[in-house]
Amino acid sequence: MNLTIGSLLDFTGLGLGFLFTILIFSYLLGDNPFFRLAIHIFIGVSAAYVALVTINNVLIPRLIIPLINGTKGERLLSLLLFIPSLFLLTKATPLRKAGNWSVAILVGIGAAAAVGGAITGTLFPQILGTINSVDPSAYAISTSRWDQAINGFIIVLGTVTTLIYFHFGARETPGQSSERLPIIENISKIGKVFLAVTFGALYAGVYLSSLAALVERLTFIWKFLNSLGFTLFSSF
Amino acid sequence: MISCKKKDLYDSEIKSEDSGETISEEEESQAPAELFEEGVEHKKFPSWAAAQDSAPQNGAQEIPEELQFLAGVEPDSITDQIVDPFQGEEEEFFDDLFSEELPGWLTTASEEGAQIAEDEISRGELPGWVEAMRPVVESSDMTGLSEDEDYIENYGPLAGIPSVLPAEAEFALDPEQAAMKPLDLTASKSHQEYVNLLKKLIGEEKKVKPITKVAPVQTQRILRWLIAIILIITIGGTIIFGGTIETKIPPEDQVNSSGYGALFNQIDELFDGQPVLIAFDYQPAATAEMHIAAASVVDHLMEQGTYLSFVSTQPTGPVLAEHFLTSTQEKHGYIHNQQYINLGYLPGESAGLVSFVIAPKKIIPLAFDGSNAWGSPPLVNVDSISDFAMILVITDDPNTAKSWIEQVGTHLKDTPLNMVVSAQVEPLIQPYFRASPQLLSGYVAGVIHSLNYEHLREQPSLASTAWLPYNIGIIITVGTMFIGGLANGVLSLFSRHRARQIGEIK
Repeated sequence: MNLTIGSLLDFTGLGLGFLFTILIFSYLLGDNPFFRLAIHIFIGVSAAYVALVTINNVLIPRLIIPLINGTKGERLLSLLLFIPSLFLLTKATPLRKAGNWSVAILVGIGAAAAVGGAITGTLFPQILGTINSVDPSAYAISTSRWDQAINGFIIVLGTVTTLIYFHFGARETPGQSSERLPIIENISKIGKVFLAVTFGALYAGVYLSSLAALVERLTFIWKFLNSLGFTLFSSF
Repeated sequence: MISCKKKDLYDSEIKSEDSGETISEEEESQAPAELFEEGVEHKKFPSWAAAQDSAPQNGAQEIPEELQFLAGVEPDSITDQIVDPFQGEEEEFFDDLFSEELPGWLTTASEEGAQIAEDEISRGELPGWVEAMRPVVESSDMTGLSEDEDYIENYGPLAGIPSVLPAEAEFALDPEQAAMKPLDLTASKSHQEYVNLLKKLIGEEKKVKPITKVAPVQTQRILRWLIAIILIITIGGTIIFGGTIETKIPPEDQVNSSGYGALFNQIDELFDGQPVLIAFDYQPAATAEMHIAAASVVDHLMEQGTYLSFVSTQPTGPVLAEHFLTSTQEKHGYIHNQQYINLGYLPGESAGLVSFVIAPKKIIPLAFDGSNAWGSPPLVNVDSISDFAMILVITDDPNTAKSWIEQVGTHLKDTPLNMVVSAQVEPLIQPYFRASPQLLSGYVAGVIHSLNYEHLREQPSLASTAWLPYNIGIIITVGTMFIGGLANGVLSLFSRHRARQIGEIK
């Protein structure tokens, strides 16, 4: 048998993959030490890997190297970024309050980018899309007239009734409990149906993803066993 | 000597308490007659003063000097008598007023007038509202104010003075006696309920509640095992015994209006050497589905001879990209820095994406392996993200998909943004594809779309291989749900019927 280092490493990798797959599958019997062992190893390996990537792919090329070998402008910029980074490190010390301003800048910039993107990328386009759904000439995808009409109706109905479902305003009546208007209450029931269909579709998608993972893992186990010489059924 | 407690006592209490040294009536009678004038009520004194009453022969020497003025004793001339301090002044006043110097008519008139006044003046009747304003003392247990006439200060500088308002009545109470006295609290029923509730709450806090371990429902566990065994056996059997399932190419109308059809047409128009940016933004756990979904699409891109640039907003992305190439696209033999470049990890999520859109070369100057990222001929002219011929995002997370659309898609000019997503993401990204203006140019979602994409290319790949066990899994799942729902319905009907029977019997 001619074993090279490469093939040995490959086999070790496959063997570890097989072992961890079985350990994870053991959760079918309930929570057990084997499953927990596998989970702990995954978490530890992931954390260590992320730390290495951050150092090698972010800190060294984008902070350390410009600080040492960069031009005057690059050094100044790196220094300006290095100072808040040092303050961030104080978050792990008793002087954690000193790093608040660095965190504030990070959170502020992140929130501004996210909110700005959500408004220009989701909110306005979706409102426009809902308006255009009743205008067949504005459709992005060419479909039949009936399709357009039904689609437009469903989109408008779904949008309006779902929004009404989340309308919790009620008129205050002295001496009585505040309740929504009967018409709002009835329309919100249609919105609830749309929400249920949406959540059902999302759940079905999650299940289909899991099923794909199951198929892939079972295929992997079979291939690994085949590589070990379990050719019992391979003749079929 | 009578022992004085450090509290205020009434005269009667003093007598009853100190039975051993009670002052007898005989002793009282031995007191000088001048002290007990007719009509003058016996004044009540502190114990030491009462003892002085009973033994005047001992004289006032036993009275403390600082209290002698209270007992009407002149400090300079100590006599055997104890004189009421107010009595002498009153007599002198009346003597002066009704002295013999008054004229006779005035004396007579005053005597007659006094007699008439006594006869004529009767008790006046107060109006009802005035009567209502009269203070009524309902309870005297706490303060003793209604009994202040019998009260004698027995402690402090006012000791021996009668009818003194007790300054420290509540504080001076004997705690033992006070505890025995009932408190007249006017607590309503609701107050009492609140008190009981509070007592109950406080009492329950002290109780140690044993945590009862809920035994898992055995039927659920058995059902879980049963479903798992059925799925593993059927899917595993399909994998082991193999076989193919014939699928039809979807109709043209459906292809034209679908995301995978739009993506296929766009890739088909690309030509050799055009730079394409691919974002590997999925978790390692989603590798199986994402490999199946993306294999045919990336294969198509490589067939067109495009130059691929990999980037990821997740730290694990760069390695997953390399793993994807080696496990699914080995046949193309793409070489790093010649046919593709791995730009590595892009930190900062949304903010990082925004900065990458504006200046990609400054944000990622080096490739994942440390080499020059932008030195290859296809990337020399790339100054912004719009200079790429196409952007393809491979992700299993709806939020990541949204971030790319919101932060990158809105800044693109003519560059199409496409996606390969997990089946669970499709419902959330479809509106971006269907809407007008269209922010998503095309997409492939999950195994089913990937299979259709392979049909369009007429080249079976991973989706075609996985389709049969995947399809069997879906059928088994739907069947299990149907049987489970049916069984649940039958069981609930039986339970209702049984409940109705029990109700009729009762």
